[in-house]
Amino acid sequence: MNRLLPYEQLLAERIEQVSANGMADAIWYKIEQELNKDGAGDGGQEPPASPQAGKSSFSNFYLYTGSCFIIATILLIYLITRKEKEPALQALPGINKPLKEVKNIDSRDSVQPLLPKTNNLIPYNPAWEKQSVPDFFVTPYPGNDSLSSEPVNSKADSVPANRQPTITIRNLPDSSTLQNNPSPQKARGIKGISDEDYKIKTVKKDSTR
Amino acid sequence: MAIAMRYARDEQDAGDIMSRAFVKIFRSLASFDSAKGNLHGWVKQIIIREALDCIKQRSRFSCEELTEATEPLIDNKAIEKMDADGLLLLIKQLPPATHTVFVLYVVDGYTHQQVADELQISPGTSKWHLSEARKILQQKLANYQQT
Repeated sequence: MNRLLPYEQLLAERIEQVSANGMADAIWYKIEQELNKDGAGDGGQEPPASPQAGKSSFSNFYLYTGSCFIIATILLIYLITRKEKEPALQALPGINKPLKEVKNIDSRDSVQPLLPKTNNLIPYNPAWEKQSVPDFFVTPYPGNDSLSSEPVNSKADSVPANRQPTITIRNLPDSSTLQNNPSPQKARGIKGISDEDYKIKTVKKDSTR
Repeated sequence: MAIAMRYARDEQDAGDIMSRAFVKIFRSLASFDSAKGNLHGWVKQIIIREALDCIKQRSRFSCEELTEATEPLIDNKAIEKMDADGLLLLIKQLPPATHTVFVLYVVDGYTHQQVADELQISPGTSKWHLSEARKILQQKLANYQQT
């Protein structure tokens, strides 16, 4: 059953020779018609646009434009608010430095620029170092090298005599960069005229004459 | 065209099959992979599948299974006397389902399993249709020889 008989092989060879003369033109005409139909749908001759189609494209245009406008507005607001915040942060030069660079910053150099301007006017006095230790002890921030696991005793007795109050603040600006830009101090009065140059002159009022 | 002609009932039917098949060919020409087979085989496959789709729409394949088959003795001389068109007409006198199985198996070289897969029938049913085709052809060729 699974093999071809001799007559079947002969029959198959004969049938292969069959041809439909004169059918080719008719078939090609049908194929052309079918393809033209498909072409019109796929982007060949476009059918006239229906009113509904126009409406949808019109609303789509407004949808896209509106969404683009909203996104642009949000982006603009974000950029403006960010720019307003940035100068305040950039005033601290060390704010963006890595933690390694700002470790163990000397309290005198690091805290002074951050204090209010009135405090900045007081110059640093080296004699302060010889003064007795105050009764407070500010513990360092966690993560700092100076942090010890021992409990902190707030009594002055437990603190070494020559130890200064240590105030450690993380992510503080580099002191050298800040010293390059000291805050300008306004000169008092007029140059070349001292208080002694002024004389108080009493003038008699007209009413007392 | 010869492929469509041996499956179709007439020339008109063959023309329809060919036009639909070629539309499919043009549409899926970009998906043709020469590594999987040659272009002739791919085109032939599409035409046969299109023809089978037509046949399946109008014919019903019986679900009879072949248990025993006796191969009929047909003399080659009877076929040699006939021309191609005469043989085609002879084959088209077979019942549609039997005719389809016979052409797939004998002319296009499908196996019974492949015939079964294409027509969604069992291989046993395919064998039964082939056996039926052989019996009918033996009778018809015998009649032809007598005339």
